[in-house]
Amino acid sequence: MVEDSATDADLALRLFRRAGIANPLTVLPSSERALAYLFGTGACAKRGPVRPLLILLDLQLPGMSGHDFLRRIRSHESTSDIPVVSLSMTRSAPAIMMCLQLGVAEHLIKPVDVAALLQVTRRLKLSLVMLPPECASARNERVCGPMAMQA
Amino acid sequence: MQDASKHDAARISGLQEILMVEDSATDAALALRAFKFADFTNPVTVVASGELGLDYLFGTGTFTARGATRPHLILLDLGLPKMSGVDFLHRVRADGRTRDIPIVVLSLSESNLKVKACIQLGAEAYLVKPLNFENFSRITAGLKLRLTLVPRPGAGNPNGWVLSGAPAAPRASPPRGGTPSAAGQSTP
Repeated sequence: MVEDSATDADLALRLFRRAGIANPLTVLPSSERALAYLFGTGACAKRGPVRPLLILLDLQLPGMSGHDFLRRIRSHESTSDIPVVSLSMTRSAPAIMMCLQLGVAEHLIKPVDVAALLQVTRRLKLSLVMLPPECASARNERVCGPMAMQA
Repeated sequence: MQDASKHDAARISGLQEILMVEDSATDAALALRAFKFADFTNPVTVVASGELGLDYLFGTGTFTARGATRPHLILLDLGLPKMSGVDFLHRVRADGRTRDIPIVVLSLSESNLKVKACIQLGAEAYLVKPLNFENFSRITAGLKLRLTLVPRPGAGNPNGWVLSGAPAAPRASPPRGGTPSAAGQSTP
């Protein structure tokens, strides 16, 4: 998740918890940091490149815009096919249209509820499965939360 | 025979099943629809009575050919015909093979005294009907039965809703809108 607002990131974590979805959620506060995370550069060099199941992208970001972030990941072979769901507070048609042109799978208006999230994951052909506890020890967490990244 | 092939499909998919003991076809259909909406993939077997539920668990009666099945979770309606939900719970908790399977009790009201009896008998939680995916997933999260988003393998949906042991009509009919497994059946 690329989201600069700590409040909105917390809401998203809570949303996933409420939906009972246990996939770990990594929150990154800017496009630049998200690119570093995806490509395993800069602050995330130790970790190496990461391929998430899904990217949740806020459009109102400081520094590099969400649209530029999209162009960057779409132009790289390793990240071009990762599904992206864009999020914004406002229904700004041009911004949303541009996202869709840049290959965003879905756009959601914040705040997002469980039903909308599940509808989107379903359309993205993601299934929910219940796994035995021993296979599913992953927990929702902020691996590179805003605070951790700024430190 | 069709049932048998659906069961096999569920086994091949490698996902543990969920057993739903529910005599009301409407309530079962509502629950299945809620799961389907969320693309919840674990197969759900619905049986219409506590007796059939025990047959499913211990591989007796109708389920002799299939053998005993250990589901991931049992969703138990309290208002069952003949054997009551409480009796079913007693039997499941009394047997070493089934003692530790989590059971979530479904009830029409929170104030039902039977709910308290069930919790005392070791039911993990209760849900007030109608069962929807949101409150279901909240319960499973509390039970540490974690739901995980995964890419759906291939174009074909591995969902195998299994409706079995239900009386011929009208309960045997799948929920409106069809289930993935029902979609494969020929319609007149």
